[in-house]
Amino acid sequence: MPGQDRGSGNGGGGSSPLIRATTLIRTTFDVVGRSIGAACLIVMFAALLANVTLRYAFGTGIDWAYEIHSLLLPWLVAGGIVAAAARGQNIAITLLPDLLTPRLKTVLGIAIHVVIVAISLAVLWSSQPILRASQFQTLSALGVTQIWGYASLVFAFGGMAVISCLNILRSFLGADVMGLDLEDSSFS
Amino acid sequence: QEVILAHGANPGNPRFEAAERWGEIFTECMGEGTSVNVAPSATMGDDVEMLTSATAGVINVTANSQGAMSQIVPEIGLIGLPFLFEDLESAWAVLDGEVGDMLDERAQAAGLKILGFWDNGIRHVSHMSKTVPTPADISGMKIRTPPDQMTIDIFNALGAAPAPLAFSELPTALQSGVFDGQENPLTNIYTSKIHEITPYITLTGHKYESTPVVAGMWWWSGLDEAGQQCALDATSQAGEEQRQTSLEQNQNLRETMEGEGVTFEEADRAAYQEATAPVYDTYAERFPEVVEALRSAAGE
Amino acid sequence: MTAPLVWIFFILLAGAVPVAHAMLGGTAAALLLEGRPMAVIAQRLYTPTQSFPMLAIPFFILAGSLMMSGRFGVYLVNIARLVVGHFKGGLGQVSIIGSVMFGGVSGSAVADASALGNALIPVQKEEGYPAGFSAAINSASSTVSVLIPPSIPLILYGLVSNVSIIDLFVAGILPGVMLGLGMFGAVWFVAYRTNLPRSPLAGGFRAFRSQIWMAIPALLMPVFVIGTLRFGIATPTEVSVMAVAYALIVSGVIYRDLTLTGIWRALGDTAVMTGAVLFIIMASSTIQWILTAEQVPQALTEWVIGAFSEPWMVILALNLVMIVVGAFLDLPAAVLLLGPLFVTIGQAIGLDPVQLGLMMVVNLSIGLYTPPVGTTLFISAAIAKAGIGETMRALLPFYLVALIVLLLISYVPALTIY
Ligand code: NA
Ligand code: NA
Repeated sequence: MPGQDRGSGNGGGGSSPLIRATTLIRTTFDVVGRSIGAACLIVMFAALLANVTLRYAFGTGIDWAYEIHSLLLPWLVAGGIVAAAARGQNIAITLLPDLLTPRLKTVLGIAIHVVIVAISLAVLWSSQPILRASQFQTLSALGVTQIWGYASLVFAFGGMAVISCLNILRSFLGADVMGLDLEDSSFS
Repeated sequence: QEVILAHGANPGNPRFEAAERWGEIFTECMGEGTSVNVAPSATMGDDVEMLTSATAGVINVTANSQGAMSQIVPEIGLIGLPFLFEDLESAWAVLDGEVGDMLDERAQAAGLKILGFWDNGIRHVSHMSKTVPTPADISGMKIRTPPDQMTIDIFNALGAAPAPLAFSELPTALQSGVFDGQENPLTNIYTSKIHEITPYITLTGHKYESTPVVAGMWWWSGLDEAGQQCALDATSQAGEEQRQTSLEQNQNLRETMEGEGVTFEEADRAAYQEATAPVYDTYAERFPEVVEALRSAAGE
Repeated sequence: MTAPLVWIFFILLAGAVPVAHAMLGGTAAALLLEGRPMAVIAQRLYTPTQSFPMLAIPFFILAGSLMMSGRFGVYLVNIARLVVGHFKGGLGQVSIIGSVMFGGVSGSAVADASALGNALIPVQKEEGYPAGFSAAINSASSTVSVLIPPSIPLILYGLVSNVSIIDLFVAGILPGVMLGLGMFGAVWFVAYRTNLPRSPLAGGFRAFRSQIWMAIPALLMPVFVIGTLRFGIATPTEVSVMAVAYALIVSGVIYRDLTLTGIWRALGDTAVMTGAVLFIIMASSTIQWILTAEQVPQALTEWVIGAFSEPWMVILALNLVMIVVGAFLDLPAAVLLLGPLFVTIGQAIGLDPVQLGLMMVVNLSIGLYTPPVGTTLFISAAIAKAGIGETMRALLPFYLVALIVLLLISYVPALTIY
């Protein structure tokens, strides 16, 4: 999985403009997700390394070094989830699709993405009270409200819903459906 | 209706017993048709998450912490001003009075109703190799604190070197000698076996901490008057018993730990008060009204 | 009730819906049917991301990714080959040694599974190891790391059960070594029967001598991490951060094979791996909420105490409950859920809380490589590109070893209480 780069190239060169557009959007989600994850990793790495160095060398610390993760770990995870979805790399047990004919496999693929869209939208819809409540919570050292952290859930589930919609569209257009491409995209 | 009361304490902690009592008293008071599901040990999330849950309607009530609560109502953190209360009883008297109402008013604006304040003990300093009876002794001490600005300000004012660290990492960090010591109520020190690593405890009592018991406004405002009274009564009655347990446990814990070879010493309170006076000035600038109210109430 | 949760979860899982979505679907159904607020889902999804110890996972993944992207990984494998390569299935034994050494410092089995798996599984496959067997070795042996100190699950158990963390750490060493030795035997047995290659270093020590200077940083890596932890420079999460720094320095200054492209790729891969793994932990935290709200653990406890009269039967029952719970829940989550309840039961039958803690962690760590939710299993299978079915078949000898160790710890107090 690591070291694998299959964001581009899917969908084939000679396919229709619509398929190429979905490929482009998916690739964008992949790049954006990975970039968000990378940025969060870099900031948390720098803060924690600086803090441990300061504490060991001078007996002091950065007070927000232990708080920054409550904002950035959710975003690291959200970025990773979206990139994984864009690459069809979400962990699943794919015993059933192995047993199906290509045609039934496509039908199952569409059904799976419909389920993912439904669940993602349910999470988004039901997260509203939590998002409202989080506006009242201020991280003590950073002085930022928790909604900036919870917003990562909106990105993650919104992103997954859009990607699954794209995949449904692609299978109607006759292109590949991510997540059932067992050779190199599935975890099982 | 089913009422969920969530908290972060484990069996053996006075807060655990108090939550169980709250459930009994409230159920009995409400009569048929009401049950209380007490969820202990942070099974419904940590303190901050339980507050979000209470605001958002996921749980009804939480016995929470002063630190988490002050992320929503910063004024609640002022209860922890250094050397504010002479002893536990005077802290309780202040919180049950006008100051408590003042804080409740501010909490309600953020969607939370404060039902009352239980006890979370008064914090003391433990050290690997010595007691610190005077501010001069504590100067330069590398001390672990929670990621709490007030605590950091207190130890900076004392010339110590405070560094924040997550509680879950504390035992490992102490063993590895990153810190000279830490500060916590006796109950936490004992139940996390921190006294095995830092066997010198100075009874500084530098910072009081309460356990605010809060309900989500969505639930509170939906209760009729009798129901609201039941919730308030359950909180104060369970709290009364919990505070007594706290007092006794504090006494017992000192003896128990002395039996395990821990050295205790009283701190020079007046000297410490003088050394931390600048902290009051800082916070009085930001929250003049509440700091004044706390000072005069505590001074009575 | 929790029945709809279980049914819907399994139906979605069988239909190849991603594991995390299947869990969320089950939780949503249970909440709707019980008339509980759906906002629970967002709240609980967020919870694991607020845990500071959880940060060790991405950083150990990143450190492994950075180190193994360059020549570092090659040197590390060369050294291990030099030591155990002459055994049949030598590279498999390298995995076990690696888990005890590397894993012994990380505190998190999941971090080990990804760091060691990325380094060793591809090389094993090149040597002709079946993908499933490679994945099996990695997913099982990486759990040794939660027994040898430091250990995040043991710290969590200590916090929920009021047991001394030092005692737990000390008590974890022997079971960890027993598990390592047992798995060493399991690999040897399989390698002997399926005639897996010996993998001695070509030319032996003589040929390696020219590389020995370049290999020193690789040899020092575990020493660096152990030293940092034991001698007081940092906590496990910070050690994970320092491991990243170490990897950067070693590949940047000593091997000089660090490129911006390489760093970017390692960062992106770490984000994707972290997202895929934490998503499952987050989703299982929503299930945990329902179990708590429905008071399933309490009902379970009452039933256990009522149904069994003899202490040995209660211990057996606790183990059976943990095997089932561990199959579904993440290790830390299961420790937090069951710990307080089991301590009460343990007290009732006179079971030492330290022994109980080790019993819990050994037992629940089997769940890390048991479906439906097995984090080290999924990670290892993903790296090896192996099917879950073939990996599970290859895991059978490892399950046997783990169960024997578990029985010994459960019924021989002398192994954990000194
Ligand atoms: Na470990
Ligand atoms: Na499992």
